[in-house]
Amino acid sequence: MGNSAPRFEIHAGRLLCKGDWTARRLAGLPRQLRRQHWPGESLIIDLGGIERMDTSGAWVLEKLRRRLTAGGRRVLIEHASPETERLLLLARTKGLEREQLPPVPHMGALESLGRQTIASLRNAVGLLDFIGDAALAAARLLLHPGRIRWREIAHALGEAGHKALPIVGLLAFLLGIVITYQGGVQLRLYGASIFVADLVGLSMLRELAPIITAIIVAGRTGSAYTAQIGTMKVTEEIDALRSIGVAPLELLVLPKVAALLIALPLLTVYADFMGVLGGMVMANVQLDLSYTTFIDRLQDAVSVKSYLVGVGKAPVFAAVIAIIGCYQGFQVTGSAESVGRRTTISVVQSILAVIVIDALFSIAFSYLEI
Amino acid sequence: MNDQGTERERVIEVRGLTMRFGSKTVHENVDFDILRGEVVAIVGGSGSGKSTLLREMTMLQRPTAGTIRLFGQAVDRLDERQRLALRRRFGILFQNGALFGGETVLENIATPLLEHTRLERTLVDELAAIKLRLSGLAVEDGQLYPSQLSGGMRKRAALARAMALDPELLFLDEPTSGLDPISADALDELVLELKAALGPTIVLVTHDMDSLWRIADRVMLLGEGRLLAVGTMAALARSTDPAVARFFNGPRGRAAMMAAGAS
Repeated sequence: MGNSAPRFEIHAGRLLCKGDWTARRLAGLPRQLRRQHWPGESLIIDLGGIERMDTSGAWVLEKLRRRLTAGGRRVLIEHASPETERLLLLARTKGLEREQLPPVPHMGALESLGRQTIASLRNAVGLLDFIGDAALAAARLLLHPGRIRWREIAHALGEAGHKALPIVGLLAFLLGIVITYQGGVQLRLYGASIFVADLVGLSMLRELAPIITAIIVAGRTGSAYTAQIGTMKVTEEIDALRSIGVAPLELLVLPKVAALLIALPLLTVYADFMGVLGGMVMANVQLDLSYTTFIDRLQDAVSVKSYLVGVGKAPVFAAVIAIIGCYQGFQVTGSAESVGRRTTISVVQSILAVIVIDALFSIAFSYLEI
Repeated sequence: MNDQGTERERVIEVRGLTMRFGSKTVHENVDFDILRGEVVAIVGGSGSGKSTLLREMTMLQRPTAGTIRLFGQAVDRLDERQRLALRRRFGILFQNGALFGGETVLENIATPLLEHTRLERTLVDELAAIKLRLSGLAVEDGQLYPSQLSGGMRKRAALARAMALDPELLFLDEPTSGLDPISADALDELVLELKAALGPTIVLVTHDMDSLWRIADRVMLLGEGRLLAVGTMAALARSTDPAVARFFNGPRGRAAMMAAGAS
């Protein structure tokens, strides 16, 4: 095996090529050859010193040959081994210069803006279409309750609900601690420590517990829905389901939507409890507020209405997360990369939707004076 | 060790190769050599361990026991850098192509060149285009994504990527599986053309009797956890060993033999 760097020398109209003219070793040589000044009417390329050559070496020489011949010079190749000869022939017959290759499709800013706009509109229309289909399928299913997939619902409920308990509980508890700590410092200045119960109770129950739970579920479960359905689409499992007469909507989408509609409100109640618990512990540690005092104040401060307002948002969030997750799963095309891209889109869209919807709820509630 | 003079270099040397998954033995004590420039086909029934053997030879799977030498180097004694250097010297065509879905065909072919060489981008694109055309695709096809290709085109593109660095050794895992007869014939033809143009040693795993007759210099039959027979296709087809005869003298084997004889 040859092991010497590729190089060339020029003597009296002869280009002597030496060493390994292989892809791994060529590196700067093509540039050197391009910059070289070629005197005279003709050039003999002498390949006697070549130890090894591959397609790249042959192509570099062929490019040189083409350039010189185009400039009106005569080029002769000498002392090529049979293998090199074969490679040179390959380069001569199959080689194309960069300019002869089809240009890499390049998109202007305006075109890209237009395409993105149309894609967004299509996405919106597609989502509406999907919601319609899912609603129709759900209605049909309610007319034939025997076809409801209880096993799938139970499975999805376990995945989305039961298994999310530790993470939702932990985050809500920590959130309760943080709010109490931050609020407690301020309230103590006014000698109003007791009102920390109002602060934690109202903010957790009305706003933070529902939204933090929805965001966790969007990241945990919405993404899983997209990835699962998307992978099934890549491996043609969705088509297989259709071909054996199972509607993918009935088997894959509706049980997930149903399970999340049940799981998210329950998780929200759990987050309410853990958040207030976190606040209570922190109030005891930092503000010397006893548990009984805290609970007494909580009962006065937080009405059942505040609790219902918070929990009432959860089913809406659940429907949005499940529908977006499943819809994006069905948008997957062809490749593994597409699954990844759609999963990202699914999580971003559902978190965005949850926050926007929460804001709309706030506006509506203040308008209705709830 | 080093073969000088008349004897050809052994590109692959397998000694006492044994593979077990749990209590199941895939193959035991397998020995064989593959010489430079040969086209060797590995055949055998489903589950006879052809693909496992291929994965062991390509360093994708560690055998339970035995040694594999690639280009004279025992692969289990190499460190990560040496293994990488060795990997650059062979190319693999995976059964389903395994083209990267997020890249165009041309980018797929350019990937090994960009990873392992310091060539300029223009040159890399031109070299990828040569391999693309050598594998029988049009330059315009280079702009397509793998999901837009037909089965035959995908195999061709994958073969072009496997050949990107002009490997000395080429592994083909079921190159004609899933192709219609015409595309399968064309792919066999392409393998022969690649062989003529770039001269690699080729090891292929296949079920395709026609491929065996057309492109294989030697055939190795795996079965019952060992090498049942090694030889040219013509020799194996005449074998009286019942296990060998059952494999090559079924209706498909006969039809392929007739076709090979007729052409």
